Amino acid sequence: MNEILAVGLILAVALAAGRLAHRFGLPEVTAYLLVGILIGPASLDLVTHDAVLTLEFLSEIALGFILFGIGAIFEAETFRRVGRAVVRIVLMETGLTFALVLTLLLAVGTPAPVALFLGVIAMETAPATTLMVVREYDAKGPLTDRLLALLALNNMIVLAAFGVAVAAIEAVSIGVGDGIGALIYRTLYRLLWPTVGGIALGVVLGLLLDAAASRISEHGEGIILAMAAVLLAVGGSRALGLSPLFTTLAMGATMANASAHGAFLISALGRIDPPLFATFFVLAGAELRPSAVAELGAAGLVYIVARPLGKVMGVRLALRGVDVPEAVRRHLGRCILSSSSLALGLSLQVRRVFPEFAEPVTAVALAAVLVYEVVGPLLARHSLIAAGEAGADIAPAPTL
Amino acid sequence: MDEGGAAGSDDGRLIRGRRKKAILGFAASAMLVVGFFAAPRVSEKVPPAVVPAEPAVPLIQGVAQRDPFRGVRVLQETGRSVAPHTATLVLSSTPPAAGRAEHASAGLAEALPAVAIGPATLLANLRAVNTLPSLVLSVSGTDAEAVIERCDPETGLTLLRAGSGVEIVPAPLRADDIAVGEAAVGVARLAGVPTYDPVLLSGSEEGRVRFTFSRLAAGTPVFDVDGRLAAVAGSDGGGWTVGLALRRLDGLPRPIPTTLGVSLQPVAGDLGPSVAGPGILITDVETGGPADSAGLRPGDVLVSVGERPVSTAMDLDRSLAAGSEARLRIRREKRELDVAVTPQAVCATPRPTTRRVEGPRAGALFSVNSLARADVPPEAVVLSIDGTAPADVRRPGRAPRLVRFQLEDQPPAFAFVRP
Repeated sequence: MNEILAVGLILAVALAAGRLAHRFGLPEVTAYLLVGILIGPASLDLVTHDAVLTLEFLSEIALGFILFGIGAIFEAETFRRVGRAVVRIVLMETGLTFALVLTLLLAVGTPAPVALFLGVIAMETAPATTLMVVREYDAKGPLTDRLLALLALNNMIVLAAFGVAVAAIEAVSIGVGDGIGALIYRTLYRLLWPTVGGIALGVVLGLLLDAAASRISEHGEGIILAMAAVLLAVGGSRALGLSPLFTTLAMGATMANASAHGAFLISALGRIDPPLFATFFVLAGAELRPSAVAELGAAGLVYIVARPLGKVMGVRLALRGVDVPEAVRRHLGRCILSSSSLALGLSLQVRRVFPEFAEPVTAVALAAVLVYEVVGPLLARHSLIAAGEAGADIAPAPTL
Repeated sequence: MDEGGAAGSDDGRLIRGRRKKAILGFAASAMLVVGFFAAPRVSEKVPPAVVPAEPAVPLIQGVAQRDPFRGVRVLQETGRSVAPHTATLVLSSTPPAAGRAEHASAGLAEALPAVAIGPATLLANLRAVNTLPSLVLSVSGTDAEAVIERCDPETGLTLLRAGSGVEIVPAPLRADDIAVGEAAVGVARLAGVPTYDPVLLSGSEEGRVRFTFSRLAAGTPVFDVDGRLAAVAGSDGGGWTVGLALRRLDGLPRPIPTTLGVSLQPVAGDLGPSVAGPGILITDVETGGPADSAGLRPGDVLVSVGERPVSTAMDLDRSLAAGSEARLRIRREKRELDVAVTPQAVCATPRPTTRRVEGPRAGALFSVNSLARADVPPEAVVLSIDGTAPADVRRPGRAPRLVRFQLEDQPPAFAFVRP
């Protein structure tokens, strides 16, 4: 099957799956992922492995749109309201998850580097999946505000932690080599360039976007401009070796804070992104292998149990004695259990940097993503509804 | 993620006013430019080594044929994180005391001690140079996935690509490039055990050789140029270990590889009555190839070429020369026959490793033929044979050397197959 046919099929099955999901009260994301598994290489192989690889660029673009949207939520005013608590929550939930997963994995005899990488990967919460649930149910309120802010910060911390882990393992296992100074410089650069550089590129593009947006009033032009900005951000960061995640987030945040036209652009994007998002999640599903779950060893089980434990407990701990609405306290932990593209991306990076540790890391990460991508959106949906923040249960994807 | 700028207005926007935007934009752009140029150097360009001007002196004298690895010392542990390495090997005839090998990677250049092999000494300057337009011949790890990258019909020299992580830099091949011979060069990360990666080396102008080696996955067996197991890549930490061993071929220039148009499986005698006795089992005959024209059939066992008994593909290789007729003794259903075959020159080292064995599973061949000769306890679970999972074992290019197995409640262990 050629790629164009594959995209057509993906959109068609996504539509059908979305309908079915509504009937059974499931989040669309879950349905997309499941149908992705069904038509992907693991099952029917209608969308082949090669097609998935070829279409990866669509996923990258979609992720860019998603993160741009999250970034645009970072208006100074919102952030001032929830920011401090969110920073606390993120530090606590990632820290506790990392510590718990690492300790328990070491306790069951996992080699230290593997445990370390899995600890870092466990910290991640999938921004795309979670945001998709928020959008689908048109969720609004204190829980949603904190959830969205948390997603962005969480991903930043995970990327930084991963950089530190790589540097630490490299320093321990390979030796310092050409001098401690060079190692520190390399490590710092590897940490700072993708993150700080990504933010810088995002700021530049965000300001350019603002300048261009002020000259535009037509909806069609708005769509073109917003698409151009996201593609430039994703492609530009890739060309420069920056993190597309940070670039698109920063671009969204800059635009939201610098421009009076942010809402216009976001609503322009909202008109075109549903097919892109559907493709993204179906493709994400197609990359998963259900059989991986069956192959999980003790380490995998520990990981799957320890991660949500760390996240939920971390949120609880962070909110102890803090004045937040009860809904946030009770439900936020359960909203952040999805795990997806970043976790997969990191495990692929482990394969590139430390092939000798890659096999166990990838095996556990892949299986865990499968579990959390199915369970995570369900819990998030349930929590948002229970917190009374789900606006329209059957609304089509609303604007950001 | 507030990028700076003072908090300000009632509509919640942080960055207002042209001046503030301009400053922010300028600062961010400047940061990008500075960051881009502050990137740490990934590869230092090391100038090519000066080669002493007496290349007529034999480079290697009397290297022990049987054991090219005896006496090889682990050279140096160096810091390096990203595969693959590329290095240029400069052969010279400097006396041993002055011999130095330099290994440079990722901006790192460290002097390494010279390499001594067996009773003879090979001197080498080993330098990592990313810029020299020289020849690369490289096979990484096991050759299970080696594919032909490029081939020079005149010399028969072939570039092989093996697995991932191996970088091959094509360069023009010339007949007089082939003056160095074969070598085994290896790197691996492991605790204490030197591991070697077989690399086919070829000289280029001025005796410079470029080769590329990759990181080995844990458990990868590494073979010497004769196909014997040299070492096993470990999985524990430890630094890069760079080892180097060279062995000259019998004649210079390197003989042109030949083929009979057959696929082979060395046998030790346990395969059943039809192939009893040592030799090389012909598992497949290429239609229209020299063996086919001579009437050889799959199932025949090659016993000797002329007077020389053969038991490995390497033996066979050595006994054949392109274009000159060879008398093969074969065993077919308990009878021995003599067959005359004229081998062809080929543009590839035959590596019949990419097709699965039809009929009986390769695993079965291994189990009767080899596992019994390895110290693998009968209750052990075999994890891999020569680095390949038992279920994925393809037609081997040589007899299995190394079995990785695991006993219940114990960590995986290795067993060597006794020849």
